[in-house]
Amino acid sequence: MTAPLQPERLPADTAHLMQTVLIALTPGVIVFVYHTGWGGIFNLAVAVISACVAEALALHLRGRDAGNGLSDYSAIVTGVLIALCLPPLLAWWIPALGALFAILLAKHAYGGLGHNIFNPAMAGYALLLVSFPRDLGIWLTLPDAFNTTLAFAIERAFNGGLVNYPLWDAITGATALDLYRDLSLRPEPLTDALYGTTGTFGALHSEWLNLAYLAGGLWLMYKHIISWHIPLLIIVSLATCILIDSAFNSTHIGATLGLQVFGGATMLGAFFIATDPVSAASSKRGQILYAVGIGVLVYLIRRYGGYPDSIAFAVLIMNCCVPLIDRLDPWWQGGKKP
Amino acid sequence: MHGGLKLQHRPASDIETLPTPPTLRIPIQQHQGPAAPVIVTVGESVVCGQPLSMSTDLRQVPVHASLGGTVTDISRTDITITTNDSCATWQPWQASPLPNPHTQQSYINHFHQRGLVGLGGACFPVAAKIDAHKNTTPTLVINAAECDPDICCDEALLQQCGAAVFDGVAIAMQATAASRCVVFIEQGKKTDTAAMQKLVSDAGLHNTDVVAVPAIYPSGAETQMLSHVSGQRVARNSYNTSPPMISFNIGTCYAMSQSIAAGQPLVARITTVIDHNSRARNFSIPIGTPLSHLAASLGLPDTTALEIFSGGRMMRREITLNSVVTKSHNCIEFTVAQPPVSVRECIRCGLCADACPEKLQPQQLYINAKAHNESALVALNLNSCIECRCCDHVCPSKLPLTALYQQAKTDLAVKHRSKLDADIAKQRFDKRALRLQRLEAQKADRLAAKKDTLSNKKSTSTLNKKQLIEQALQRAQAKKQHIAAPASPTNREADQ
Amino acid sequence: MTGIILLTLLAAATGALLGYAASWFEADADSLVNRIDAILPQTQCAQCGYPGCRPYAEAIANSQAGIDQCPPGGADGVAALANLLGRDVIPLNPHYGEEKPVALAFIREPECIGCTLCIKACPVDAIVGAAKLMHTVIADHCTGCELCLPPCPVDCIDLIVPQNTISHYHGQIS
Repeated sequence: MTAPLQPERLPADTAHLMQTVLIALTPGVIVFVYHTGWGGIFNLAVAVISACVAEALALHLRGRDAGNGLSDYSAIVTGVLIALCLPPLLAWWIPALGALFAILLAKHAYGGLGHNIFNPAMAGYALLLVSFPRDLGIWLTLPDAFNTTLAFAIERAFNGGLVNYPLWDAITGATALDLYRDLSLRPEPLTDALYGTTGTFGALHSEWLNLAYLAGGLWLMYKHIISWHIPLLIIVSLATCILIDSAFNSTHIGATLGLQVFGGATMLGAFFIATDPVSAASSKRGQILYAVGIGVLVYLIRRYGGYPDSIAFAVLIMNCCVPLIDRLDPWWQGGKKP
Repeated sequence: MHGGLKLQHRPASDIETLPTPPTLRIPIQQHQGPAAPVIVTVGESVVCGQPLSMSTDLRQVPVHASLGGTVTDISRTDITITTNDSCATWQPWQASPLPNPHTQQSYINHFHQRGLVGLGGACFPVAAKIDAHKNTTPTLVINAAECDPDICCDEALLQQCGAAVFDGVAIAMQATAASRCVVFIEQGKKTDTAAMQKLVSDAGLHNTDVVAVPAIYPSGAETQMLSHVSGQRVARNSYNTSPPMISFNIGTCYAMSQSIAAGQPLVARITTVIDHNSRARNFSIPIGTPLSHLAASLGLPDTTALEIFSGGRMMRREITLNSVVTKSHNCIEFTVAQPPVSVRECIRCGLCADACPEKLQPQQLYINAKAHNESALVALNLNSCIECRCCDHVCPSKLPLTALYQQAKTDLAVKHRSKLDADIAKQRFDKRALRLQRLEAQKADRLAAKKDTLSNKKSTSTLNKKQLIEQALQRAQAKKQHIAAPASPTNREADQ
Repeated sequence: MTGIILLTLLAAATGALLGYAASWFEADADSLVNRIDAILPQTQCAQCGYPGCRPYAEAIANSQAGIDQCPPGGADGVAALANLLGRDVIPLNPHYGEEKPVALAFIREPECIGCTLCIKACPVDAIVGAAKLMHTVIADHCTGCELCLPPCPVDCIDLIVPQNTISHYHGQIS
């Protein structure tokens, strides 16, 4: 007789929401592990464990119920997201440091879940990126990564990572986005320049990773956890920028579009990072502006910036703008001054 | 309508009656507006339908004895009646029929004297509502869409007394001089569009449309309904639409038809009662029936362990077992007390904004209400919030948003009121200061004039001091005589 | 040499501009008094030491009085004044009285001797009555300033805190 109150397909509570995000990340995590081998698994484990420890510590220090705080799964999501951005075979303390910074400073120093201005995972990753650019720039290519043994991964983790491995140059390679950034420096045509780094429809290997994230993201949309606004507008604005760029620089549209949209962390950023409700704009109008801003910044940084990938910086820069966007929203809505 | 929640409605059950309660406690003020003065005394014996308070002011709605009995107590807020068995049914006490010809004013007076208020839950005086639209030809909007998914009293009324309800609609059309009528229903009810249209044609109503909307809560709320009918955005508390709209709940229409057909005042209402097993039943309950009697009649177990709410699951408010059934109670729910849910921080997910039927930003309201940021709350249209609790229900952090908004609204109203009071006090202070200034100036003028005359006297007078003293003595003598003989006319020259 | 001339000219121009701006944007003293007055509760109780809210507002505007002298305005009032004037929020000065809920004057009518002293004392004309006739307080206009208490020769005026002035939750009378 009881009338059902909870509408269908809405998350029951915060913990359920975060669990759903973790489930949606599963295909991405599987492909990621396939591409990074034991190194990736090791990073995931370290990041998640340190995130949870940091969360418990922060909640304890702030006099909150640590059990209740941990049970919302948000720390696990942060840990997983950081690990998914990192290359395999790092020194063990790099993912740990990223997770600690994300949880302790980017999240709890601002007042904990719901009060952080910046996306914690991206803040942690950005710290690592500016502190250890060399470590984070070394990606093992697929067959080698997949073939690494657990023993080798652990051995490297406790001996300064791949960057201290004498033979690393022989077993890693530049990614498509690395090359894209340097296009203007290269004399040869684009297709030659990108030779060996493009795959079937995107960047080599990471195209499948992006496809997995896309699938998870679409499922999240179906579950009403995220709305279509942010992911779609990030991808559309990024693609528009590339099309305009291609028109002016007569580069190969299909190849650049594919490797930009299905390369790097585009899909992870569009569906799982930029959609973090805490640090995104709150109204739909605000979200549109926020997403377009991210899309344009991703293009600008990838094309002209000093880093090959730029999801983290683009998201963090737009996070800075969110309070302003939110404040202006009633003004757009009703013509009233905020 | 924007947002809202798809909720499954309860099927309506038949209308039942309760055993006669031994006592009634009838609140003097059950409507929006001040209470009417009480016209009965303790010890007086009253019959069912007899007015207990009366006023000519349309905002002061009278209350009536819901059952016959003896008035045993009159407090500041309530009148207690000990019922007797013989008077359980309505007796045509001064059942004056509507005077002919049926003018709008005669309807207004008739509805006012019979204590009619809106039975949708808000209890706005019917007479005052019609009076406010007296010189217009409004669109009459009849709300047959239950707002809350738990409430089924209107549906039950339609099923059992549909013809009488639509007689009431015809009366309402006449009373409001409406040119057009829209009957607003929700899809998926047993009384569907076809059944409604049959009732409309049976009642011989012209210019009447039946509009069925999807059953999305809170489409039956007044602002949502009026927005839908008019196609204009209707703001809460200022229903300024063109043409003007006047809306009645079908329960109110039924009460109108009863008041015209039998002269019956509003002495009972149909209420959905939900027991602790979540079983909904509809009762016709005399106004003023104590909830303890209701609980006993339902055979509820230990009532101390139960929480009692009025108004369905969504719009509910907690009430106590000491309360009585009033004209506002469309639903009374007895539930087993739930353990408190653990509240987490807002994660700004925006689900509340998606669900808000008024297109507000509940999350921004939440932040600003917590910070007591009044100007921001006004800018965010806090007062448009209809307190439907859609945001509460979708919130993954289980925040008690609506309760916070209610608090913030009260604070805003108090601030607004004290601001008005301060303005009035300032005006009065300024006017008093001006008056004092004027009086002071007048006094100064008088003194100056007197000084003038005195100095003139001095210059013209040739009398010496001795003569002056003599004159003063004479004046004193004259005054003495004057006091001794008060009948003699006053000799003011002697004073000067 | 050119540099010195240029710099001198620049300094002169800037100085002129600043001087002009200072006179152009000069704070309007009257509008400041009005804004301060709008924050004050208009109780007209004179607890601040000035004969009403407006004189106190003028004193604040002229920096003759502090912002902590209005007990009816309370901590919120001090905060609002501090916000308007860009000053620090300070606690209410207990010398001028303490913040307490607004209580309205109520004359115990049987005891009133009709002396009209309270009528003269009321700053907002909220007491009606005539000599040797009973007086009463118009509750809607009473600001609770307590100025009618000292003059009353028979002490027949009480202060009553009104209960629940906004009947917000109608239909929920229990």
